[in-house]
Amino acid sequence: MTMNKFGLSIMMVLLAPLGFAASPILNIAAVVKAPTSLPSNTSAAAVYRITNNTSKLHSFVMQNIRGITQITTTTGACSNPISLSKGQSCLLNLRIRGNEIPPKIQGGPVVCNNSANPFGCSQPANASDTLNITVTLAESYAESNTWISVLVADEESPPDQVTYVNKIYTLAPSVEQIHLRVVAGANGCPATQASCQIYADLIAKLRTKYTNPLLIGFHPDDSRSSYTDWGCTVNDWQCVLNASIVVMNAINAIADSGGQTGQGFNIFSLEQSYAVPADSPTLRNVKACLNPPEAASDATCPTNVTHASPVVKFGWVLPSYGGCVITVPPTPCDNEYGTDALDYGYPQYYNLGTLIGNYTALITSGYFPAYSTTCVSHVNPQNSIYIVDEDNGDHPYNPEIPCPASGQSTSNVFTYPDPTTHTPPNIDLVSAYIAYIMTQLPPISDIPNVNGSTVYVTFSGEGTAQAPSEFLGAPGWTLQSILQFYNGINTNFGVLYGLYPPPNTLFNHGVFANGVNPSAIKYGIWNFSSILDNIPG
Amino acid sequence: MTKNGQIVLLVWLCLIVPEIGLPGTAGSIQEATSWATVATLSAGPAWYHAGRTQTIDLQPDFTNTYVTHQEEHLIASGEFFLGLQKQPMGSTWRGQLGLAVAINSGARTQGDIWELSEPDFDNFTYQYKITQTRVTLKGKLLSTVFSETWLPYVSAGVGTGFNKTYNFAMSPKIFAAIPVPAFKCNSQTALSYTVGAGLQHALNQYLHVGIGYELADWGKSNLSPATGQVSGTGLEFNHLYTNQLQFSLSYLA
Repeated sequence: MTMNKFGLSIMMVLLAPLGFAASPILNIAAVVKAPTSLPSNTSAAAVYRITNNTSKLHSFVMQNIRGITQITTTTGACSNPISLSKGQSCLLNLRIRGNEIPPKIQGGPVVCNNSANPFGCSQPANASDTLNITVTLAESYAESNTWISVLVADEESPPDQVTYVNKIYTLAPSVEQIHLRVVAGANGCPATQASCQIYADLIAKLRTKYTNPLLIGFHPDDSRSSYTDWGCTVNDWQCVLNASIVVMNAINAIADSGGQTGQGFNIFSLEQSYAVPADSPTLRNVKACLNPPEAASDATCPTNVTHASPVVKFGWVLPSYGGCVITVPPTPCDNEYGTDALDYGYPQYYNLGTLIGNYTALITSGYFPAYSTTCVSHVNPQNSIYIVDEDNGDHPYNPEIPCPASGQSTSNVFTYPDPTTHTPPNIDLVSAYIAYIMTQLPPISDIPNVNGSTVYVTFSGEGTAQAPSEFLGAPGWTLQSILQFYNGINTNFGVLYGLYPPPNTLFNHGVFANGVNPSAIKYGIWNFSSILDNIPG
Repeated sequence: MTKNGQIVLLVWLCLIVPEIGLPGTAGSIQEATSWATVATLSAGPAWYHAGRTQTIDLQPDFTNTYVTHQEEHLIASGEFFLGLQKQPMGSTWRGQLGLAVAINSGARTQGDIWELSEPDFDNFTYQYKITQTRVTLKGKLLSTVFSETWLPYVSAGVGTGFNKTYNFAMSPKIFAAIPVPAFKCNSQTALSYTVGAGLQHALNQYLHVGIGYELADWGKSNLSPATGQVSGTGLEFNHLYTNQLQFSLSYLA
């Protein structure tokens, strides 16, 4: 018997009557719990705080669970292996892939001294903190994009309105608002009443299809090339606005001819960068045309612009990542929101290449899949890494995430093929990208005072069929993968929150800390016709 | 013992000691022949002490201390002895020499595990069992100095213990602690010995009953290392001592 062991035995004899403390080597506590059920076509996140209860520096390793990977970073997250000194803590960030994990996971995560020959293993101190995940069938989740609250059309319905309405319902069964496109000149309405009737028929079909009350938006093509078609001279935006409202009134008269009111259009929605100037005073004056009782007392409907009859709400499809974008000094930037201005804002979340700053841990940790970062310079990665959601080639961003294929200058996350499957879309990449920039950019990062207006983050449904840009309507995207994308961004909000907890949060200006939780945001899809084209039948 | 068993036993005695022949009718106590075959069946409770605290290096950076509960345990133990008895003419001493085979019900040992050998991580209880089958060359010295029917004796044996350690199990004391790979069962042989003393009473020429004490040392026993253990063995005993109260029944022929 060595002296040490002898000493230990003596100590044990002396201390035996006192009893000893049972406490885990590591304290493991859930910060973000994994879901209890996980559709097999989705991913989820879990975050645990690991604390070393021992009296010295130790190294630990999480025991492997198929389909669960540890995401490491430099800010608060646990390294792999997990190295902690006495009393030190870190955040164990887990990504859980529904298509890879066993059908049921109960227990864990388990962290031991190593993975090959584990000893000294700990799991969460509270049973309710352990993983308890049941994989559910992807099919049960498919084609239920109930998260889509708004659809904004950029194209008119095809002649077959029944199929159009059915596909819209398939895409977004829980939609609250549908904004219908009215082309410049409205096909001759109101001079040609039959043209007005076609719009009214479409509205009636939608109201019949949806049992819940719908708000129907009048979304005219008021682009800068539309003046002539509206019968106006170039730059006479008041003329375009007037012509649009005249058409809307004519269609509403048909829709409400049965004696009921509100059966036609309920919202008039503008689009960014079009004929009507999008500054706060102009928007407030337009409101005076659309809804005089709610207009500001100092707002005036422009001369020669008719009033909406009946009155309608006012919405605006804002610029990319638009939020607090109107800054007309000294007017506060949130003046466009509120009853006397915009009732609804639809900021677009696409068309962006952006620098990701110094958050390169997102690359090294595997948050962005390795194959999408192959041209990232690791020499000095904190400077100027471009990530790109869509790039039409006119002004390429030279993206480094995703890395363009050899011989190409552009690359787009929405059509970027996973090199292992060679088939776009790559949901992990898209949802990682979108969740990342949603936590970085307006309007989430700049919380404007919306004065009671509702803001819907709007994704693009464009695809090559109708537009050169490729987003959720690009070839390969299905209703199921769109749902995966939505679930993915919510998962990644949790991952990002684990990677960058306060005060290092990516959720600038205190989202989570002070205000909006991005998982509570409502969503819309702009220009969804390519998505409808991808729906069979 | 059943009647059939008795017959089998006697036939077997005949085979190995053919010159002795079958015994005569049991009756009054008579002078024993100078040579006799003796078979003794003994059994009784045995006490043992559970062992010692051990610290084991499972990994280069991971050591556990196994704090054995300091308590006495009880098992059942039994032995069958077969040998020859010799009483020199005119002597008050009788000597027996033969082979003894002993078995027991299995000794349990239990305690607490301090992970990282720190009392703060007193996170598991453990237990395992040891059983021994022992074959010894055993001698017994009885004396008729006081009486022809009340014979004090001393005994001693030495031989081989076939030790089996098995059923190592650990139970967490708290939810957060997860059991690690267990030490594995092991069989080994060890030098084993016994010493004893007691009193034997002759009921008749053939049958003796006795009561006595016997100390047995089971010798070395250990569990095999756990999966992933870098060096050494599992928990071990260099000696496991049992203190047995023996009740015996001997048959002489």
